Amino acid sequence: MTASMKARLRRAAWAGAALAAAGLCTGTAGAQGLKQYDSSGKAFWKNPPPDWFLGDETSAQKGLAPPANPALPASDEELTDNLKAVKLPAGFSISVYASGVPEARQMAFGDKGTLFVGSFGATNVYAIVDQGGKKVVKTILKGLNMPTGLAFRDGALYVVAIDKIYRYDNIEANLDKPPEPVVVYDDMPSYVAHGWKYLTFDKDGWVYVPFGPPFNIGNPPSSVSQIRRVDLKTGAAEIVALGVRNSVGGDIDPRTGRYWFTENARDWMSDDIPSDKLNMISKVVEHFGYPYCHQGDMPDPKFAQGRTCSEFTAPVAKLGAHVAPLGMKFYTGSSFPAEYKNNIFIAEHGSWNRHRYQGGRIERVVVDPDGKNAKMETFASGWIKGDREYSGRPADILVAPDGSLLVADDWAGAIYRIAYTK
Amino acid sequence: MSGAGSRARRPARRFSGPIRVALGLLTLLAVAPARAAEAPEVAQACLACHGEALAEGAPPIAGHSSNYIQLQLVFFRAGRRKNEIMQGVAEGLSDNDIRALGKYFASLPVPDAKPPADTRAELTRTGEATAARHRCAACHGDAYLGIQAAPRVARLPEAYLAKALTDYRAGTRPSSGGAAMTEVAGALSDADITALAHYLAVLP
Repeated sequence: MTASMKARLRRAAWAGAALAAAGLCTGTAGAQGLKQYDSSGKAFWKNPPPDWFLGDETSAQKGLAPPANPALPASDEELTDNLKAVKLPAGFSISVYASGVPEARQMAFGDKGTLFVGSFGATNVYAIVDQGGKKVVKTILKGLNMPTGLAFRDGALYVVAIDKIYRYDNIEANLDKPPEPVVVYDDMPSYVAHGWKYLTFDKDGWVYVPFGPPFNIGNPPSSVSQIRRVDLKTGAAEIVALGVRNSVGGDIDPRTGRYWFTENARDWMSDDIPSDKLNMISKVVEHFGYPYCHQGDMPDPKFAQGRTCSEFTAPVAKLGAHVAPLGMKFYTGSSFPAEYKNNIFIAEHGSWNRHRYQGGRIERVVVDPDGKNAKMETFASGWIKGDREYSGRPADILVAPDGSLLVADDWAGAIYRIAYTK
Repeated sequence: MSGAGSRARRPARRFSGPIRVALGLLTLLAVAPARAAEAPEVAQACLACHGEALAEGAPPIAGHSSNYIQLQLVFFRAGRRKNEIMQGVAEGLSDNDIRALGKYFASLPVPDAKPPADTRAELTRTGEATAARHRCAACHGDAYLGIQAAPRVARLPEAYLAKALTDYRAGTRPSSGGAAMTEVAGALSDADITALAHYLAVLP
């Protein structure tokens, strides 16, 4: 990338932020005919606009309501049955690591081998410990507001619940009586819509935090639709990416230290566009296109507002429409064959408003450190039955200390283990 | 357009003749096997209040989806949905009890209750407009019989509907389907809730 291109990107990013802010404050002439969301009052920041996930649908898309989570986690018998349908490359096998983990989302290992797991609507954080070869699930925290994201560092568990990041010190010694948390960051809006988050520490101890807009498509206030990097020791924060819609997954590239992240594209254009994305931040601050441009090359039919896609950073890979990529990890283990080293695994949660669901699987992406030559293949699939039925929905990925791959499933309420057994 | 006339013609506007016949047949098919369902032992306690004669404040639960019934029992058991009686009952239920109760009540026919006579036609119209503005039908369906995570809300008791919406708005009742109800109810006014509850309760 040339210096002038970089400068242009930088300008585009800041112009984008300014335009978004202007659009909201004044309802500019350029945005005429577009929906306007008034972010000047408290209501916007407390509740999403009433059309945040419905309202843009065409008549052909009407009735594509969100699928209902099973009320209870799947039983061991059901899980065994479900996993029989899962297809993997030769030499790999999948088994149940732990069952009875309602709405399991982001996972992180503690230093002493505890697996911590966040949840979506269940309000819980779980700790899964090994007791004589049996995995025991303890609900260590209850009553949190969408505690989807968590991370472990220096003996402490960090949990993000919409508008607060909590720290629980010396957690592994206190699983049965976790300490009172310390709020380490709370400069975040309190709305729930696209407000559920994912936490990723980099090597320097800064944590990457995504901020989704509280609607499907619109000119976002300039404090959201971005990714921040936060130093939880000091509360210092900086914006590292703009123009990001709903991101609930990311990881640091072990080769370069750069942050890569998944992003869910806007809804209701059609079953097949636009594509969800895998992105990489190569420079602070890049703009990834939302709401002007989708999938790197598709101006929004209404919200392009005169901008062109060339102003924005294109994705590393187009993952497909409505596949809903969530958690992702670089493969840093050593028990898989050598060609898997530094590949990316992405947990695709699958569609909720596509006539025929897709995603609901694990994708493998092989890609150069600079984001070039991305190749994708499906690594694990088989959780979709018929047109619109799930037996499971992968929500996060984690490389276990032994090199196997763990998968959190928030539909079946379970953690799976994928091992290379040859 | 008068309130009564508007209501009388509404179904014809929404579904053409053949579709209505098909819907009618589907309903018949859905409820046909229900009569054979045997009440599990654990359901006896439920039927005391939610049986053919409803106890005060108890909504009809027959014919809701198994998933919806299970979710509510899980919420009561975890103390996330508050009701003294229901929390007490749900406390002792095992996962398998909850599965059995969901299956049983879902197998029962939807109560064939005639909607109460609508004495407040203007409020009904306000409710209809409010429902359109808040896109209730997008998830609950044009006839409000429920789709996926969204339950049937047509012809439930008015006071129950108003309480449910108030509780969703206050965040004291958990929502399924990605917190959808918590979010859509957040912006409702008291007047909106009154009108919506009335409109849904008297749906023909």
